[in-house]
Amino acid sequence: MKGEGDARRDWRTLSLVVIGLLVLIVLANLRLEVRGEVTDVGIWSRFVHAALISFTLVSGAIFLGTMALSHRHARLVEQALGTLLATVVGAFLFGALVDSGFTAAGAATDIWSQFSMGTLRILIVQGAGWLSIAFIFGVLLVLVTGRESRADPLLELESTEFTSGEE
Amino acid sequence: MGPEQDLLLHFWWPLAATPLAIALMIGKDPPRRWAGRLLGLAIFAAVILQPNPLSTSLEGWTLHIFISILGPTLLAGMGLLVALFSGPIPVAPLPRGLRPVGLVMILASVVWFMFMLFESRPFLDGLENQWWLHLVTSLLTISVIVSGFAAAFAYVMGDERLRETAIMTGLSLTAFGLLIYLLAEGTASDDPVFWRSASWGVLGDLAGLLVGGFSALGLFIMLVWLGEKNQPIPGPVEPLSEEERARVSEILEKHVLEEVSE
Repeated sequence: MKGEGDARRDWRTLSLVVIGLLVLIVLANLRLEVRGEVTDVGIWSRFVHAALISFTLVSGAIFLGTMALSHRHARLVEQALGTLLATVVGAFLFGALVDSGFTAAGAATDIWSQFSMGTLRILIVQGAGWLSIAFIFGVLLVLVTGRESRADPLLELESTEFTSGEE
Repeated sequence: MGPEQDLLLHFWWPLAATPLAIALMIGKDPPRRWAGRLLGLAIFAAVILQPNPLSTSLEGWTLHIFISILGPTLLAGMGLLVALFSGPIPVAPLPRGLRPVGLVMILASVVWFMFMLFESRPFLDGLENQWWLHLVTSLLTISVIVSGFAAAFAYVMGDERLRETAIMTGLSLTAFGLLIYLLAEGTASDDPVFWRSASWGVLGDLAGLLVGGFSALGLFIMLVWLGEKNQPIPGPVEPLSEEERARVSEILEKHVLEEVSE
């Protein structure tokens, strides 16, 4: 049986694998970028824009969900006000950032163009993410459930005969 | 109506209303569920009734890229379901002989995607879809990480899952190798420079998406915790009425007596 320490070790292993792979991909990209021949994509501005847009959209979606699922007995004031405030703050910060000239390449420099371009980019990344997760964990599920295993000998014992109806 | 208003009505409004429709549809009371279904239908109709060609806007190209990969996606989904439900599991309504068909469908979906990648990039009205590189590099980058996670998960969480671990590791390495190949060599339609730029930009978008999304979720959890913490202490419960007391006694007598007699 696994103890608490085992679970911690397992999750540490999983986290290390994910972080290791992320570092590997970044290093591969860095290595190829160092070789030259890459257009300036402004990764830092893309990161900040994506983070703010994602924060705003997720907060807004949770706010809408909260309002749709609220009922007479639910006390959701903190939740509704908090998520609405987070959405407004996120949108305001994004607008202020773009107004200050911190813009991402590939779109006009007005706030709506920057917002719509950023949103479309993260929509596609998110779509790719869901596709990837569904496919890979689907394959894993098919593999795991495809294994033929021997029948459990305990099930052949008389005491596990539930169908006879005899107590 | 101008093209910008069309986009607001046929793309951005449906996108913004989708969480509301989903939340209403999973609600418990029938009026809300009906409202959610109606809203869902309205969203679907608004997207379908695009008055302008998809090739005239970035939003249209976004819809087009998802439509373009619908074929391999559906084939893979069907293959996974067929392989899963025809395997040796207790819930298996499909005949066992169909399992190889499911596996072939999964493989065919991968081949279809590879054909699109190297031979036939999605295009519309004679123009190539500009989101293709963004989608492919996102898909490969996330696949490397997710299948690596799946390999580690199968290894540490299951007993004797070495075969599954090896296959997941193979998937991760294949996705990584393919990504590196695209960054180094490119494809017939796209120079490696474009692939490198797309991949570099996707890393920024992906990191931002994760940081922003999880920050919003973390804030939401904190708000729920605050809300629960601020709930007043429940007042004393009113005693049962005579009618309720009689009903409870009736139920207790019936069940407790039954248990005693057994």
